[in-house]
Amino acid sequence: MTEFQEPFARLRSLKRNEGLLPLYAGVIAEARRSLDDWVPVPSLPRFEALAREFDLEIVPDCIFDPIATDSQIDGLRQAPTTRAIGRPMCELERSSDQASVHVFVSRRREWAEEALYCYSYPVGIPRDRLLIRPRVDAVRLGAAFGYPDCCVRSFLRWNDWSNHSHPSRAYRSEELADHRTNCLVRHTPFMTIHHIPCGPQCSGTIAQSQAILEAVAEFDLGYARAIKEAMTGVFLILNEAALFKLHDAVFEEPNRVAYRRAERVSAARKHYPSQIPRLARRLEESRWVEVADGMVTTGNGSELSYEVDPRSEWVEDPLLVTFV
Amino acid sequence: MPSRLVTLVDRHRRLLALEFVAILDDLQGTFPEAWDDPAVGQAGEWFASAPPERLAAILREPALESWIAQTKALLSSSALRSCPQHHALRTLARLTTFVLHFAGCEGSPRRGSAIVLGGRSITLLGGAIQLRPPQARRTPVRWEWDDRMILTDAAGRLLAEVPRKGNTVKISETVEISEGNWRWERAETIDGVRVFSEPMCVQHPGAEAGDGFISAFEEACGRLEPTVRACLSAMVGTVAPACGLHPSEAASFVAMSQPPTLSELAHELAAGLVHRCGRVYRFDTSGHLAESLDAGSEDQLTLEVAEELAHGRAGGAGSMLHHMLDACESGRVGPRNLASVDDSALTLDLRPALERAGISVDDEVWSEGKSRDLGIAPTWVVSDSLLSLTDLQLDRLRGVLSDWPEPEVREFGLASLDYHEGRYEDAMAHLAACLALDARCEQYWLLFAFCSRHLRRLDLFEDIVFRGSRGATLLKRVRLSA
Repeated sequence: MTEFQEPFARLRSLKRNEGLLPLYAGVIAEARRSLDDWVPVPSLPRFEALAREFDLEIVPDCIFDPIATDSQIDGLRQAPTTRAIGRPMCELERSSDQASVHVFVSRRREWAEEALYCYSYPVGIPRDRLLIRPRVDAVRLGAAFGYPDCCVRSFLRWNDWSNHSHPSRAYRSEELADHRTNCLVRHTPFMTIHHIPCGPQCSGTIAQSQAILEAVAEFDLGYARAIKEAMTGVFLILNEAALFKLHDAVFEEPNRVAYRRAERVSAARKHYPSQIPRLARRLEESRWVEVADGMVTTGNGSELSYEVDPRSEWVEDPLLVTFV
Repeated sequence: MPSRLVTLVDRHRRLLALEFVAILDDLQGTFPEAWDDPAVGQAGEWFASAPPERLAAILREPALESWIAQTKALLSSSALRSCPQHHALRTLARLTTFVLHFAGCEGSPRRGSAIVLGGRSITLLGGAIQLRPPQARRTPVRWEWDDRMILTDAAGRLLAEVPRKGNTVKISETVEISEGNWRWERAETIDGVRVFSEPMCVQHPGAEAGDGFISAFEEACGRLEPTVRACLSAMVGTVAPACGLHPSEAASFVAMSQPPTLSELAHELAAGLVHRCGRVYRFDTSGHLAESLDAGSEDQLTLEVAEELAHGRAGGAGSMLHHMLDACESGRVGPRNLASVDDSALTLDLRPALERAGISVDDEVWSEGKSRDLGIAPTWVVSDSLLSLTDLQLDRLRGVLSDWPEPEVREFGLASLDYHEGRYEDAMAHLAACLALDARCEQYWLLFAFCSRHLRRLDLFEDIVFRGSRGATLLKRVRLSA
C-alpha cells in the first residue's frame, strides 16, 4: 500500500508521521472514547481545522520538547520510551518548530477532557527529573481511552520493563492469537490497538479492534485490508523494544521458523540497548530462527546465536507467536 | 548582637566549615586516637584558620594542593587504615561530599544505587549511607534494598537478582556453589529472576566494570576543576587500599555518591551539628570557627527555634540553618533541648499500621522514602502498593490510619488512600496537613499537583510541576476556589 485516502493522508502530512492513523477513524466512529497524539507546533492550527471537519474535539495538554538521548534525567529508567521535556501550553508561542503539542482527541469534549485530567504524561520537568505518577492513574486513563478492564489490570501487573516483557506475557499461551489482538504493530501505520491485551483472545480487545477496522474501511478499504494483513502472521518478541515480523514464515519445527524477510516493527529509538539493532541485523541476514531456553538462534547456512542477556536493563523473554 | 544578615557566600562557607568539622568529629567519635594524629590536627587547623577570601578563591590557588596533601595525610593515617570498612566508606563519602561542595558543584543523589562489597550491601539514599546486614546466614544469602532482592553466596558474590515487589523467592536447596561452578535451578524460581553465570558486583545501571568505573567517576566529576578532580582521584587511590577495595570499586562508589543539594546538606548538617559528639560549634560573622562548646553549656535555645529545628518548619533548611548559626553566634545554644532529627524522619513507614489492620506485610514496599530534592524523580511506593490490597483491606487500613498517633504517617497514609480511591479533595486536605509537617517533601507537593489535575485545576498543576512553585500560597489558592 502506497497511498492513504482522506483523512489519513492529511493527518499524516500534518503530524509528520504515520502513527495512530487508524485510531482517528476509531475515535470518529466512537469505537474508542479518545486518543492522545503529538502534533508539531507549526501544524497545530491546520490540525485543529481538520479535526473540526470531522467533528472532533482537540484538547491540548502540554508541549513536548525533545531532549538529547544522553541527557541525565533522573527516573528515565521507569519510563524508557520518554524523551521529552514538558512545558505548559502558555509557552506555545516561544516553542521551537521541533516541539510538539500533546493533545487529546475525541468526538466528545467531555471524553477528551476526562482523559486530559486523569493523565500526566511522564515527561522531564525542571531540575532534570521525570514526572512519574502513581500507577493507579493508569486505571483512570484506561477507562478514559475505553480500554477493556481486563487489559488495564494486566497492564498494572506486568508493565514493568525491568522485570517483565509485557508482550511476551500477553501472548504466551496455548491459545491461538487472534490478529485483532495484535498490539505488536502499534508503532506502524497498520494497527488497530495501542494497548497490550491481557491475552491472545481477549474479547474486549477483539471487539474494539474489529470496530476500528470497520471504521477505517469506511474511509479507505485498501488501508483496512493492509492493516489486517500486517497484523496476521508470525512475530518474534523479545520485549516491547524488540519486535519483529517474520514474513512468509513456515514452521519447520514447533520452535523453529523459516522466513523470507524479517521486519522490525517496534519503535526505533536511539536509547534502546544496542543489542536490539544487532539482533535486527542478524535476523535480516538469516533465513530461519529458533527460540528455545532463552536463546534465539538464527541461521542462513551457518548458525548464529543470540543469547538473551540476563543482565540486560530490560527483561528479554523471547517468544514466537502466530496471529491468525 | 551579630548581624542577622547572612550572605549566600557566607552561608556556603559556613556549611563547608560545618561539614569539615563534622567529618573530623566523625573520626574523633569513631577513633578517639585519631584526634591525636598529627595529620588530622593539621588538616583541621589549616581549614579553620584559612581566611574567607582564601576559601572562596581556593580552587584557583596552589593552596588546593596543600589541601590535597593534608587530605591524603588524613586518609593515610594509621587510625583510618585499620578501621572497619563501613566507617572508612562513610568517611570517604563525607569527604567526597565536602570536596565537591568545596568546588561549588551541586548535584542530585541517585537514590537506589547500591553496591555489594565483601558481603555487605551498601545503599545510597539521598547521599546518606545505610548498611544492611545479611538477612540470613545460609547459602544463598538474601539481600534486600529498594525494590530488588539479590542472592549471594556467603562471600558476597552475586548469584541472582530478583524483583521484590509482589514476588517471593524460593531458594532451591539444590543450589551448589563452588568456585567457578555456579548453578541455579530455574524451575525453583519465579518470573523476573535473572541468573548471573559469573560472580559480579551489582552496579548502578550504566556503570561498567574495570576502567568503566573510572570513566563513570570522571564523568560525575566532569564539572570540577582539574585540580579538584585530581584531589578526588588521590582520595580514591589512597583510601581504597585502606578499605580493602579495588580502586575501581571505590571510584564507582564515589561516582554514585553525588552530593545532595545545598538545602539538604544544610538540613543534615544542622541536625548533625547538634549531635556531633556532644559538641556545638560557634562561627563568627566572617565564617571562622571561633570555638567549640561542650554540650553541657548553660546556654539554651529558645523553644521556638528548637521546635523549628525539630520539625523543619522554618521555611526550608537554609532558614533553619540560619537560625542555628544565629543562635550559635549569639551564644544561645543548647543541643540537649532539641529533638533528634535522624534518618527515620526521611521515611514514612506504614508497615505497623498495616500489621495493626491485620494485613500481612512481607517486605518493605510500605515504606516511602521521602524526597526533598527537586532533582530526583520521587517514588510512589505506598500508593502503588495499595493496588495489591482488596477493598476490605483498604477499609481496615483506613480505620487504623484514622487514629494513628504519628501525624505524618497518618496524614500521608490517608492521602494515599484517598488518592487511590479517587477522593481527590480529601486527599488534598490530608496533603495540606502533610505539608504543614514537612513543607519540603516532594511526594506531598507532586501528589497535591496530581490531585489538582484530577480536579481540573491545571493552573495549580502547572505551577507545581513545570514552574517548581512551592509554598503556602498554593494551598490558599485551593481554599479560595472551594
